Amino acid sequence: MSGQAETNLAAFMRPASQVMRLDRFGAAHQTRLSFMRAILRRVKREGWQVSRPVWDVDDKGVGVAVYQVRGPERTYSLICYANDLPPEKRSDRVIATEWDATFALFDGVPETADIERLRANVPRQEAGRCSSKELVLSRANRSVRLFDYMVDCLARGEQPAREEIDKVGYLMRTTAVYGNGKFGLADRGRYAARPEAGGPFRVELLAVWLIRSFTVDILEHMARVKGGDKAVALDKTLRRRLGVGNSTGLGMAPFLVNHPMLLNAWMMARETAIARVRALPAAAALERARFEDLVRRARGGLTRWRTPDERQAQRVCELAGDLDRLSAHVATGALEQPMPWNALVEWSDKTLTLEGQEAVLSLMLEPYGELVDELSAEMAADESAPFAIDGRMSVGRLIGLAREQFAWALEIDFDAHAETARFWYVSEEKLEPRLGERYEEDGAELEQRLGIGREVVEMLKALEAEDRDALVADFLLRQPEHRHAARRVQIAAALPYAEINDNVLSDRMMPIDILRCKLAFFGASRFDPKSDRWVRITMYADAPFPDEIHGMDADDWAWPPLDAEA
Amino acid sequence: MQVSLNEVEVMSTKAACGAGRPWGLAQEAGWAVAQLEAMGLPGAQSLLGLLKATDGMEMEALTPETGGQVWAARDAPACPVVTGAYLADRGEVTGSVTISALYHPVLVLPFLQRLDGQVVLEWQGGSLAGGAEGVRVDCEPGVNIVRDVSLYGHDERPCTDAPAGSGAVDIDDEIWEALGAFAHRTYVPASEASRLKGAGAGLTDND
Repeated sequence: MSGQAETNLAAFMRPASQVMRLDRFGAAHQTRLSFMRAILRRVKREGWQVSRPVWDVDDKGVGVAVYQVRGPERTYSLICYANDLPPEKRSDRVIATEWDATFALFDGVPETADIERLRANVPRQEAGRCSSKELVLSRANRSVRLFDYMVDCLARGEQPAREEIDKVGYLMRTTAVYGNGKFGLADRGRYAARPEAGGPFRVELLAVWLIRSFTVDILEHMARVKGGDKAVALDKTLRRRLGVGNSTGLGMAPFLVNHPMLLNAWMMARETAIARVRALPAAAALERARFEDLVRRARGGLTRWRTPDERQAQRVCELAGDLDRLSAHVATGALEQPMPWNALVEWSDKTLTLEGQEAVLSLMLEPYGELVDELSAEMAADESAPFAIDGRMSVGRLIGLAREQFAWALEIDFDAHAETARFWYVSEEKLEPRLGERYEEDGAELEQRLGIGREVVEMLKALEAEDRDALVADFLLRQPEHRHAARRVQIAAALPYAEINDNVLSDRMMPIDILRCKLAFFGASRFDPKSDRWVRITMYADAPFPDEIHGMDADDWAWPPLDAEA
Repeated sequence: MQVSLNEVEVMSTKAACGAGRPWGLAQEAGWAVAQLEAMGLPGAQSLLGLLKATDGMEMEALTPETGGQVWAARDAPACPVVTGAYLADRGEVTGSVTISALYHPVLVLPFLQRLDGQVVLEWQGGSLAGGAEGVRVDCEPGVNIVRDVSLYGHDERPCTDAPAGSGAVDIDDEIWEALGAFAHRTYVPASEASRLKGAGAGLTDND
């Protein structure tokens, strides 16, 4: 787009005060820009080929498999270690020590020696060590209920019931997908410059797509062991309904707070895409039809969004009502007016729940891949160096920026216990992030610095005592405890979507809202909260498998086709 | 032990935090150590030396007074992370000053890369130089304290490129464990209550 056109977009960009709120984070949906979708579009566009050169799994389901994915320039290999896990050891908590399957994404083609080296480490996960030849470390547990049911069906030569598949939605759920140098893995810097791997979470989610194939292959393997010649392969249409489950806990929540530049890049891309569509003068008949079709599909897909969580179940129910209202509104010819998408957003903001509003935004990007998909290439951020503080700025200017960028925080009474009720910490036991009750538990003096709003307010108090013309560098030299807050203010002034405009220390804060936002950017769906601080999701449900992606649309799955059309 | 640069940065940040550095400075320390290790310089060893030498001291005691021609901290050599971050914040060095004493000068080096132009730290028997274009080390890089350090800008001597580090680095096990001991101070001991409630699980994980 030309500079002029982008300048005119400013009028259609939503402000951070609207976008960066936790209640809206908690209503986020996947979009065309979500990472899983961007990966599969590339796989298709570049003709990547996936093969399975190694399948060495015994009758108990124990062994090793290797999936190789060959792109135009490089090959990556998912090495899978399959385990026969005693049921009492199956836990999704980060404190587990054994899993049904463990995985490493290898950079290139592994030698036998690599597979043996990793066999001694990957099944141990955090307790083992990887090397810079490996990009991703992950593990998964079976949904025993669905896995055993489907093994039985296939072994008898029958296809499983669609309804039973939909009740769970996946054969295995990953409980961690590690990258970026953790446990000795390759640093992001090693591959950040590669077009296929440099985007956010590209290697991690490529691994998950391959894991999905493994979950079906191990299923069919066990069915053959059990049923012998009677066993059949899983029907491909049923197979496509299976995603990879994931349990995401608190560990992911601090990530968005700790990566302000990356968060801004994600949000800026999504909001720019929305603004580009809002700025369109008219919607062509084909585009309107595509939108209406996807609204119907989104509505139909809600029957597969199942959660026992009352709050989320209520929201899904309201979303259904919203989508019905949306269909009725569009049927009145709303999209045949000038500036139809902008008018639709204004209508939606007045009429629908947050779930509905965010769904509308995602759906209206769908007909405009050519206009918005390129933005998915702009969602990385160079975090190799910290944002350089401008210490030549005056104290007066920093005060002004802080008041402007953190106006939301200035309205909070941080002396009220409710506003500082929580503290985030790292537990000694497993080095995992946890959330404590400040006024009931010990350890608040060791809290992680995630309450950015409170820190900025504290810095402002200190700045008030300073000479307005003094330099920020001299202030920070004498009061280094405000260095973090000063950096965040300067980042927020430069990057509008860097900062969550809400208090993450408050007793009302729901960590799952932060998790949902991040997972929606990944491309996850069917959020199923298990408490206020962990959530089950499904990844790649309805997406093509490697052996079919080149024969079908690679990007028409996130709002899945209606069953009658599948 | 072979560790990734990310592990170096995370460990060093936590260690600095555990030794009492405010979070914003601990982040600078972690970044600086990873930069040095990527260049093959003893970042982790230097940070450990610094944290051991200054454990329990107030930041104020390690912060140089920068008003005059001689920069001196109140009752110890100046902290190189505080000094380096200050130089980076200022963005340039005009004229010349003397730092009366400085811990582990190599830790200043990464910060010089954020400056306009090149800056030299020079003392009896050694010097370090750096700027956006690269760095130069003309000293025993592990030196723990230097005195009467001249700090001046616009040196003419060319710098070598700082290698872009992206590989694993080898850190001595003892150093890694000692940094881990500092990092350990930032962790909150678990109780059964926090195990269940803090992480938010407790419901059955199986389905």
